[in-house]
Amino acid sequence: MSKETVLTAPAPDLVDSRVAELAQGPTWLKWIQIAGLVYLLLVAVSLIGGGFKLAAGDHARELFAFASNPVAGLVVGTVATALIQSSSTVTSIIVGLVAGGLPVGIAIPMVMGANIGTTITNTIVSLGHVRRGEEFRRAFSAATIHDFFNILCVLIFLPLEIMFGLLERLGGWASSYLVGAESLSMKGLNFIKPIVKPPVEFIKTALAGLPVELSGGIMIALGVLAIFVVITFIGKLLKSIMVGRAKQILHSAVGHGPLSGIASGTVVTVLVQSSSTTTSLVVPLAGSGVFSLRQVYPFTLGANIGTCITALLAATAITGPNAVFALQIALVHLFYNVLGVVVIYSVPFLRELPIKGAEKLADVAVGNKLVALAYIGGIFFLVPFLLIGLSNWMLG
Amino acid sequence: MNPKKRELESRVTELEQALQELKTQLSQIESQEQHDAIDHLDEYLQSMDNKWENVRSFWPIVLAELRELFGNKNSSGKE
Repeated sequence: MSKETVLTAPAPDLVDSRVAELAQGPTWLKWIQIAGLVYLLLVAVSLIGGGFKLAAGDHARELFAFASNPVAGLVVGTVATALIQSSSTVTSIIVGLVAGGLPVGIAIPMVMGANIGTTITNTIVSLGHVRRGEEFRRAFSAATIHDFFNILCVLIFLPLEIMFGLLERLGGWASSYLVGAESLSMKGLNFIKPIVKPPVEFIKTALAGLPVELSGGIMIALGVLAIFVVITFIGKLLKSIMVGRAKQILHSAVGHGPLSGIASGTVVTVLVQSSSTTTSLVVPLAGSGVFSLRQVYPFTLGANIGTCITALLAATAITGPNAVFALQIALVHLFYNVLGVVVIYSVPFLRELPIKGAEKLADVAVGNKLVALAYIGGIFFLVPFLLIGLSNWMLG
Repeated sequence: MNPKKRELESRVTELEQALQELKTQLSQIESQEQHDAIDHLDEYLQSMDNKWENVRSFWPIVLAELRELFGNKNSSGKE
């Protein structure tokens, strides 16, 4: 990819202070700001799609040839999400890239990787309990249960995807059903195009004098930056508005079993638009010992399902021939997470694996904090790159 | 029926009822604790914004363990 697409995120302090300013003020103003940010998200996704189409032309597949090895795609998704700390940002970018011509088959392992990468946030949150042994053991296991679940999900579904294209077929079937087959424009969502197109066209026109690849690269860069900013700001705003509602949902879920836990995790994540927020919330709840690991487990699974809303929302920004593929990858994300919960949680043997893994790891980490450090560095950065090398060696 | 057996059965029933009552009480206390914890959700959300502070507090502990590990190795090497 061209150098122009390589981005540096804004300084965190600067973003945090702007976010804090934005999170003040009356609720109606926050809703207006959220509406504006959603609009910006749609423009940004459309910008990435348009930019990638310009920059790559018919060579999108060649450009992402390195990721045609599914393990490489998985690693790209994992590491990118672990660095940005937002699966919503990464999946929205993937939707934009698919809209620009990235094959869905290459994007699927990236989406799976985003699920793993996002779990780094609650693991970091659990480190705050490190000075209190038993509390740290409970908090660390509540954080890493999500990691073990998502890794197990990949171990089950990635081979199925490679062998049978299970998710690609499911997503393809559902998206072609939802997108009008003749016009290839989304049924009932055609109002998106007229509102999203003008700013995208404006930027395209402004960059018209530049070489096509460069202007495409700039559009992608602007889109990625805008998504990063939107997801950061929208998360903070929704957290401040929705905390009361989230409390109500959690209160109503207490004592009502795992299905209620999954449902409440899903709804809270949809409300705050961030799975890492939801999964991080359970860390102090479990750390204090008030909720057991088995009680917070379903709630974290709900977060996996709830986070799919952002990619679905992003997919509505795409119109034209590639709309069907953008929706397909967003639906693949949804099917992957729903199937993962259904398959793993409904089979007792599989359901127990993340619990046992998280408990064992926490038992070791509480005695030796280096294990916790090695785990974070290994699972999110070192092992992924070793896997790329190994898979390339095996394929080569 | 053997009076001893009857007495034992009656005591078992009483104990089971008492155990059930204790379990219900425990469950109510646990639920109340959970509701109380949920009421502090906004504090947890705020602490999430400072998650890098967690890394900062974690780092010295890791460094101390590293020093201990290599310190022990060095001292055992000298011996």
